[in-house]
Amino acid sequence: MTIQSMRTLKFTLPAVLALQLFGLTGWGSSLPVPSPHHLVACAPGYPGTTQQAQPTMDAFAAMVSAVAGWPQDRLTAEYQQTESGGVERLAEPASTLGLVPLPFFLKHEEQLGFDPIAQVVQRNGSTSEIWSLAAPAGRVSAAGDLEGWELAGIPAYAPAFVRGPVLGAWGRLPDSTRITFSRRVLAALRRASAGEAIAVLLDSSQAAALASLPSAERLEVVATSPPLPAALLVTVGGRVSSDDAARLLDGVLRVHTVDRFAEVLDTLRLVGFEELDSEALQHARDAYRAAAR
Amino acid sequence: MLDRVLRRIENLVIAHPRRVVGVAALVSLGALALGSGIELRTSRAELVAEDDPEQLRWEQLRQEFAGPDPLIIVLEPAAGRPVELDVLQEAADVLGAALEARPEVDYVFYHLEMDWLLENAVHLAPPAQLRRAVDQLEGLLADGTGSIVLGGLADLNDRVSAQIERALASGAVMPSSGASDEAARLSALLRAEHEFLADPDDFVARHSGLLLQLVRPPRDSSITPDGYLSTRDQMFVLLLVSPTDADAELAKQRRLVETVRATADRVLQGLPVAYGLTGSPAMNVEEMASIRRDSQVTSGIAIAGVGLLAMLAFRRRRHALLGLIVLAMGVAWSIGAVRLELGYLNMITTAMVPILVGIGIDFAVHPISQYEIERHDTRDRRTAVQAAFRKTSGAVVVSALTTSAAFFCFSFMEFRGFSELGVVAGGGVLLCLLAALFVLPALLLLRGEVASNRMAPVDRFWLPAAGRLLRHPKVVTTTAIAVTVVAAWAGRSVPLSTSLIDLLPPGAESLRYLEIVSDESAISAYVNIVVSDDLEQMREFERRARGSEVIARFESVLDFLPESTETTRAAVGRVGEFLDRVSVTDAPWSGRSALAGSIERLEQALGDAVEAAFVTGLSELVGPLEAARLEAERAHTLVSEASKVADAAWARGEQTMRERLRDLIDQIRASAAAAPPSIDTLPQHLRTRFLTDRGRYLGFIHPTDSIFDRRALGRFNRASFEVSANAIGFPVLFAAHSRQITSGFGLTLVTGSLLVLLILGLDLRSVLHMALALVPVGVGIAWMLGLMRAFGLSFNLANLVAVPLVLGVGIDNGVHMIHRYRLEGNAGMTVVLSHTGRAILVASLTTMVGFGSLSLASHRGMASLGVLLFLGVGASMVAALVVLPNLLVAFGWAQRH
Repeated sequence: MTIQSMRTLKFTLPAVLALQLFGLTGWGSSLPVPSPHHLVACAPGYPGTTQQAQPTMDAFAAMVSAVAGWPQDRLTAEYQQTESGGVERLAEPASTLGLVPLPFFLKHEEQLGFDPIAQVVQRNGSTSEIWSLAAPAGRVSAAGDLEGWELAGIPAYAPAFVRGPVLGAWGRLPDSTRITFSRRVLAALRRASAGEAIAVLLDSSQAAALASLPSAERLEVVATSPPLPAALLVTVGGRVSSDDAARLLDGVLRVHTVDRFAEVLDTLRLVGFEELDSEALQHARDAYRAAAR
Repeated sequence: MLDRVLRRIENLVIAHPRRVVGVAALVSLGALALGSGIELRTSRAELVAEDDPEQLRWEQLRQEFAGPDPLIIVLEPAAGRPVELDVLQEAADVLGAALEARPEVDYVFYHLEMDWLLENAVHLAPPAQLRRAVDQLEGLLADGTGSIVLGGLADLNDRVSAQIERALASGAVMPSSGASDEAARLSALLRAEHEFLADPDDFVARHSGLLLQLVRPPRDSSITPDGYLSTRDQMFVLLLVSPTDADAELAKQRRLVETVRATADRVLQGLPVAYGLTGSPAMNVEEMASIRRDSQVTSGIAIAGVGLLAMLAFRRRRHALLGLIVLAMGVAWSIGAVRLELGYLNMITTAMVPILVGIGIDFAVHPISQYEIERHDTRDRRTAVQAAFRKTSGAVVVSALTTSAAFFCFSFMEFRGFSELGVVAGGGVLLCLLAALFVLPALLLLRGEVASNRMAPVDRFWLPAAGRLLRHPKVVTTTAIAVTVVAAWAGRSVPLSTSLIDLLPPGAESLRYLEIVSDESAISAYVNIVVSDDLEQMREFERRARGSEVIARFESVLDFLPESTETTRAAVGRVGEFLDRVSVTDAPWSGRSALAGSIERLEQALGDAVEAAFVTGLSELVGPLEAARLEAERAHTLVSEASKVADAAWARGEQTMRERLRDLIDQIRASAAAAPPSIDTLPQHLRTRFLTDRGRYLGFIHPTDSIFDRRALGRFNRASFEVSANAIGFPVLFAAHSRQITSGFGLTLVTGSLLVLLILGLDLRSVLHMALALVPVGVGIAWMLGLMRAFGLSFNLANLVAVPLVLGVGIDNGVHMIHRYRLEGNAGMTVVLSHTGRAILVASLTTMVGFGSLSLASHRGMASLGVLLFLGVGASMVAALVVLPNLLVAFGWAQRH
């Protein structure tokens, strides 16, 4: 090797190293960008529109991103107030996460490829929901008494949920019982208190508010469900990597410890999230599938 | 040494019986003369130490404020006669004026001046409430042009509907602070609309003063719409009477009560109004009256019973009389001694006479009983007296010493009522002993009779029984031990009730009306009071009181002054500025169809709102919103079905209300423009109620729960002290003094027990005999506690004094039995029972009859005292006559015969 070539080498070597460095940087810049996530919350029957809820959903998305350690714009969120709207949006490839109540989950689990990762802790501190069936006082004592009756309520968009997990332990509902979805629960209760052949499904907070109605004395709760998971945080269609799912789970389990997120959670009527009660969920699934057959 | 002293006494008495009796009689006369000057101090303040800090603070407050402990008059419709509230209010006016003219009455608080409230309405409303009202009205009525136009009813309905729809559209289903209040106001508004539509002429007539409607207290407060103090249901009107002299002396309180009754009887004559009295003065007077009534009856029964027993117990009636004379002398000497020791009796030490009678009778019964036995064997009176004296005096002295020592231990209690009882009762027991040691033998020497051959009535029963009692010593002993263990275990949790109201007769007037006032009004008969030098400090007190669950209300002059000068001025200014933009148009009547349409839209909007609230579980909104929707539904039905005639009435009514609204706006403007109220411009009755004579400010802390529940009392006082460390009132005093009683009692029992053991030890000089002497008292107390538990009885502040009595009697019985056992035990327990047992039977029965008569009292405290004494003395009597002798025989320490 000549001196000139050694000089060349001397100057070339750093350049090669620099190139390699740039190359590394270049290689870094060509790493794939993590895909964004989109969460769809859907609670058919409850008040609120997509537009009304958007500011809250934006705040929720920011909160979840923060606790999961994601960049701020990695997660977006929206609310769908109808079942069909929720199903449609969740079916889209961009939707990777869902926040759904149990009836919606059970009804669309297979179709949409839900994989539950956490369950919601409601404002009352419970992860469970207990459904109550209210009917005109003195007219219903067993499931068989609902022959030919209407059974209305918010979760009734999933009739198998009503027949199975909610009322399955009480008894088999007659086939003639019409299970109708109704968001106007109070109007249904008024019909019941007027003596019509209608029973109404109430969640726990609605059941607690029953006593405050002027017509409360003409109504009675005739059956209650066992404790069922209230709402679930799910991945959709296998579109979330296990790493992201793990980070998300770790984050949401801690969200209640961060003071600045309390207001957002309160607006959503949540306290936080807990690990999934797989056993309870499986019982609900089994009851749902038995009723759906 | 005791024997030497007793021999000297014996010799002196036997040598000079007439002189002894003469001197004793003179001393008795002198003592009675002294005793006639004893002052009876019936103030509860006399029961506590002079330097008691709580009592001193209370006295200090009373110096500058006459109303801390008012007499409460409750006016109600006379039985069976329906009466309008107006009549009760007029009666209150007449009675209040008549009472304030009496010199015994300082002032009567029963009415808020509504005119003054109207003039100052805007300044007295909380600034936040004013701002919120203006915001809501602006949101409801503003049309974006800057001016606010008030149209008719249909226009108002449409504005309300629009506001509800806007809120729902913005997703405002979350509760804000005060949302449920707003929903309730909306419901009230719709109810008023329904009332108007149902009968517009009546509605207009009833709502002649709109501002008055706004400042009127809400329906469920303790003030009538015209500002009179009342129960929440406005069935009763209340007057708080403060005396000129707020001394808690019973005589003064009695005079106040009598004055109020006489005045009320006079001014209410002819009116269909009845009244009842409650509050501390009324309760004290009624309690004392019932005690006095009961005492007359029970004393009569006691005297008759004791006298009868004495006649039945002794073979010679004269001996019973001699015993009663000796007892009377001892009691007379004790009364004279009180004059020298203290000079007065308080409400507790007045119990010294029955205590001394119950205990002192023992000191005569034993010697007389033994004298009759000795007299049966000898005709020589002197020999019989000497023998009786020698056989009984030792035991009498020891039992007296132990009993008096137990009483003297009370003198260490902090609670003066009981400490003075310890002194007078302890001293009295010793004086009764002296009477028994000196005078009784002398009287027997002079007047004692030969024992008759006929048996005393009690002997016909007792002598055969004495032998039978010892037939099965082991069975009896085992059974007694088992019963004692069970009774002691059960009795360990006998509760102590510190409730004063549970002591009064069940149907007591003051109790009955106290329940009405406590349960049905926001006024408490028993409050704690705080005093401040300035309004800022009072505001701080109010802030601390707010939010406490155990404080129902904090009442002060701040309720009648603006919340804060700066913020009130700003809020009032905002109200004035708002009203300047308001105009009430003379819009034509909208017509029935438009009205029905507006109500239907409102009903729909309310239906959506209540649906949203219900679905999201906002139960605090559901009730009032649904109530509002129902009102709208009813109004819609009414309008739809009304005849055409109704249109004219509605149009007329709407026009009238519009004019009244203009008047209201003018009134509020005038109120806003006026200077805010200040301390100097307060009406006199408010100054009297809330300021002391020295111009300091008073705050009244009302409890949520009854202060006669011990736990609730503790919680309330702690909360009061958090408001101010110097809070004072009946609740604080009662808690402090109850604590002094209960804690002092425990210590007294311990020290008394130790002293008793010491005396017994010095006397008996045998641990075994000491233990045996304590069997009657120990077993007796255990059985008494077990019986109390079985019958559901509890200790209370009235019957606590029974405990030392029962202890004293129990110790007496044990000492006498063991002394006689040591003296004549070789002759067999049957002999001991025949002699000393007989005396114990008579002495115990006289005590049981004497005190048991109290159980017939209507005053529940006295009755419980009588029951307790009956059970306790009876139990220790059975323990002394059955358990102890059988124990001695069962364990081989004595023979049966």
